[in-house]
Amino acid sequence: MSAGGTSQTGRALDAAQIDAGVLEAPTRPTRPAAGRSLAITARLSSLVVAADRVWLPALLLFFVIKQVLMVMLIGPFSGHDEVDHFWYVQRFAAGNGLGVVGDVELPPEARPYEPFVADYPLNSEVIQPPLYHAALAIIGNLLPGDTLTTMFVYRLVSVALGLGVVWVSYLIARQLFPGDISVRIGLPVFVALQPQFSFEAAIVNHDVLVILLATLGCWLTFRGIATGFSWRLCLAIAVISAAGLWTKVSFGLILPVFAVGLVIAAVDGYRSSRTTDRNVTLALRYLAGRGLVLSGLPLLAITPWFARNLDLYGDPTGSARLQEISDYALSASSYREMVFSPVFWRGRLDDFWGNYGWREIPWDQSVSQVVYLCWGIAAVGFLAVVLRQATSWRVARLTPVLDGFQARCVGLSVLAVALMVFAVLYVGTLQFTQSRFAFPAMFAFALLSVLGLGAWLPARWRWVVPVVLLTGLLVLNLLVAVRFVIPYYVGPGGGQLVVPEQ
Amino acid sequence: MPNAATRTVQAGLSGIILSAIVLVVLVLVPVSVRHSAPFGSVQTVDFSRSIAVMGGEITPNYPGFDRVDLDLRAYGDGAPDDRYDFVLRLQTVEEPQVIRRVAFSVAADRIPATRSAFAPISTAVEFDPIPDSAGQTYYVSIERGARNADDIVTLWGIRSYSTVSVPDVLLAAMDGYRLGFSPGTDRKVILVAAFLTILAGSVSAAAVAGATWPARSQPVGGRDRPASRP
Repeated sequence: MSAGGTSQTGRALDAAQIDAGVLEAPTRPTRPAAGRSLAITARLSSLVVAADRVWLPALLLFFVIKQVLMVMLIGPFSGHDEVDHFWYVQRFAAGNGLGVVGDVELPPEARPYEPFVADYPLNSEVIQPPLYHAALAIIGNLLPGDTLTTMFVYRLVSVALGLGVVWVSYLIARQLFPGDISVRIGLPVFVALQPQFSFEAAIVNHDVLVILLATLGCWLTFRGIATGFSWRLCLAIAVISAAGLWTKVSFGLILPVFAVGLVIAAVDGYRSSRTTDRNVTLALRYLAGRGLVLSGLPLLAITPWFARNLDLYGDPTGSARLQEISDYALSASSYREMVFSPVFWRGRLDDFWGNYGWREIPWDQSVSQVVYLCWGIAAVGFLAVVLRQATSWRVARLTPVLDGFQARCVGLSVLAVALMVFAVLYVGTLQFTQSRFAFPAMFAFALLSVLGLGAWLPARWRWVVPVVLLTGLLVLNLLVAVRFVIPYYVGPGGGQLVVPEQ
Repeated sequence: MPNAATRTVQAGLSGIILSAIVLVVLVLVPVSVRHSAPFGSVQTVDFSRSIAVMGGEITPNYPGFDRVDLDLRAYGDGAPDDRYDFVLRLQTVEEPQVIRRVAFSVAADRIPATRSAFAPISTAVEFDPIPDSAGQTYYVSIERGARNADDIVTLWGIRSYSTVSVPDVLLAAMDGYRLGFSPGTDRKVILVAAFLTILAGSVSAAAVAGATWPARSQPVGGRDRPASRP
């Protein structure tokens, strides 16, 4: 059964036709024996719309250079949990195995960074699944350098992962809105220049890998809605999910997006078949079989980790252990208190955009208020899109803003945002919470923001959106770096920078 | 529509011109930098007595110290005429001597004891720049005016600022950061990376502008297409 197959064929042609007048059709390699590198280049090139072959490489290159500069400008180990993550990696690099929270202490070299450690002298991050750390340890073993050099190299890995997030965000934009340049450019621009995401992609932290895997999973899910969930696609999503869970257990909160995507594809497939051919049993078998691969394999893969946590800490995720970090548990609150507290939401907005490190470098209110105003305008615009879309389903003469495929994927993006906001609240019930826990849905925040900004303009003027967005975010990043970030660390009269002893 | 090579050249040239303009602007336009302090401000809590006091020590890390943002909180039923008068005193710590004294007045509703989540939290007080402020420690204190000498007002935090040029900040970065190379190489690497970032950002902006330019006259697809219902 090929769920959604009929609509996909129509969609693919549709996209090509739309592009035909303005853009070149995607190219495919014409010389099959031209070598592996040529094939990869051709494959990459086929993923990029012809009109995007100048600005996209320019944006990606800019992202890399900007991030490398950030790697240098963010003081060593001053990122959130960076000390713990770094020495968790070094623990593997030294040949030591998984540690037990409460037993594993940071080495004496970490002493100068005590203010940046959640539970000094203990390394709290050994509570995390080890995929990111074990993978980095392989690189660490190859490095002869000192602590500072090793930290910079690990940070550069985060830059590469962040680059992957920007790239996959573009692929999502291209997949959903192939003919709309404002979204195709706006979405990756938002992700590449979102200040807190940029910070995340310049420090040693497993969150950036989680963001990449979640974005990849969502992209493949959207593909499944368009083309149907083949076994291969299900397996790919399952492998990504397993990797995500082995990186950070909270990755599990994005899994419902993949599951709902599968359900949508199954329902689409059922409804698109001819009435006489409709077979509920077949549809349910499709759903059950693929659902088993999609959710069963990742759960099976993470079971050993859950079993270990259950054995050591008494709960499968180990999250209860987080409450034992004394100062952090004091920040825990109830869902009700958080949801109805304007101060809580102001804090989360501050975290989402600025508040670098352990909130050590906040923005001034004058800067954040301008950003929140712009984001509020985008939010109102997106609500208008939703309202118009909902109305068009009932009023025949109104043209919907989104086609069926787009509406489904935008709906899933809203679900991703909602789940990640729940993640922020959930952590808040255990300990000190931060908006970065919502970042696996960064592409979705970007998509909804760009759609919302575009909603304020007539179609012929929407080309302005990416230009304004890029200009605004460039100015914001520059302003924040010059006014707050660099002066926090260094100045002629000193600063908070602490450099490791060589 | 020009081909990719032409567009790349156009974006590159436009980016170079744009980055030159950006560099000129950055050199000419001064910025107000916030001095280094954890969480951005100096808290004025006297932990031994568990109270907020009316002053605090700050150590600007840039020259040209010329502004403080004060987090003032007024308690009680309000001041006469609904305004509070204050005098800000700035004195050096090593040799106690008042070097700046600024009288200012704040509307009572600007400094309520409790505020809504998004209300402005600071009162800016500007004074003549102190050229050699980098690395010096100052005591900033607030005194209530005669009209409201008996009212209860506290100072929760102080943020301090200097107005400097962007090259000053870049020079501080080049001198301050250590990347693990020799100091001379560290400086060069930071300078080159900063320049390349501006150049790449400008090229990127030019490329985006170039890509969207023809879109104005083209029908925009995607959201403007009729919906294809499943």
